[in-house]
Amino acid sequence: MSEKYIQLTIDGTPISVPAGTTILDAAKEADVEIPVLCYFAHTTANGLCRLCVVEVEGARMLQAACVVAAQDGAVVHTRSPKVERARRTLLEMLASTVDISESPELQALVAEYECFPERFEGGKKRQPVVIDDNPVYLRDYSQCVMCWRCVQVCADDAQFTYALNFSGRGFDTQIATFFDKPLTETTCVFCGNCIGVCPTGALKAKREYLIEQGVAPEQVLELTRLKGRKNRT
Amino acid sequence: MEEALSEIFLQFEGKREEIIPILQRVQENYTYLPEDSMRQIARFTKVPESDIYGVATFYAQFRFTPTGRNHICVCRGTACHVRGAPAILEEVAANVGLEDEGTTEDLEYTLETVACIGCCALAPAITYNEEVHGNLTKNKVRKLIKAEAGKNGSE
Ligand code: SF4
Ligand code: FES
Ligand code: FES
Repeated sequence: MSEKYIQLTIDGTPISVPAGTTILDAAKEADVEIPVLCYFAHTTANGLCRLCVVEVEGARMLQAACVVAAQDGAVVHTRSPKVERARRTLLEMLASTVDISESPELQALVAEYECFPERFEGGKKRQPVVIDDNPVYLRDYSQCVMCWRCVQVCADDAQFTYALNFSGRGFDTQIATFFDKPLTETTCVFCGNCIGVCPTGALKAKREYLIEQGVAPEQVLELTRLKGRKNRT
Repeated sequence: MEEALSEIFLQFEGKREEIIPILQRVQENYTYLPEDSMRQIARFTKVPESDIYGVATFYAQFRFTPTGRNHICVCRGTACHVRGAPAILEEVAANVGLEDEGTTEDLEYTLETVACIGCCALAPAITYNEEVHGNLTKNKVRKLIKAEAGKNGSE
């Protein structure tokens, strides 16, 4: 069965891709890099952060490249002034509400787009306390950008454990467990997938944290041993 | 499982799209969403507990702590605010033994504020167990709470 191919132009480069390919993947083919934040190759794309927006000629709004399929004959601009402005504003809002001090990739984007987060100075910051409720990892949601990757790998994209999800809404949205219970009292199996996919410093292995704090190696092992726990029925 | 809960479940099929109506019925029954019933809802609908919690915490209408036998909502909408809602709120709180919004320890009263009851012409207004009382003054508030407390006692 032969696949149907479509033709489009990305930043002046003509390219042909199978119908249904996202703009993001088509751009990769054309050697054009589009920045992403919530998108992750191994989780279902939800188009949450809008950092990957691009301008498609004739479209009223900027399109999220990670979820929108490329159309035949489309003319796409990935670095137009409109796109740059949108990305810059997004990054500025993120950098002014979230602690990005341990997120080098985000910092690099903030620099690349010449962001000026200070213009939102005085805005409310998300500052929940660090959750240290298990021997494996810490959760510092003041660094969380709500990309949803941890929730997805905890659920149908990898582990099928469903320990994590969103709670609340709007500014108070946070990644949480059932009734905000400690992870040791949830279905969490400590697979570590969430730590692996987190694009920020929000989820951190406890060993890494303790070493940063200057705790001696023997003690680190002692403090991070997973004690036998009963499975909840 | 508690009987009240099974009775509620009997009226549903356990589908995902029934989660919100189920949560509403459960809250009507318990005045809030107890943890255990949330677990049961998860089982009944075959939806993860963390999802049920996510859905429930998204909506302002759902509560996770028991509410008092008497439920007082003080309107803080624009009209009520202009006509003295802050003083009314203070008066209600003082008369039921609270500092601010919340529930008294003996579970007698829950005090909440809302953004508009929809009867701005009667500002400042409150609802006392769903019944609207308008054109309030501190004095009227005091009398109302006393009268209602008397009613409850004689029931
Ligand atoms: S904790 Fe990390 S992976 Fe999870 S939503 Fe926040 S930033 Fe994304
Ligand atoms: S990367 Fe496309 S919306 Fe986040
Ligand atoms: S503002 Fe209070 S009823 Fe509308």
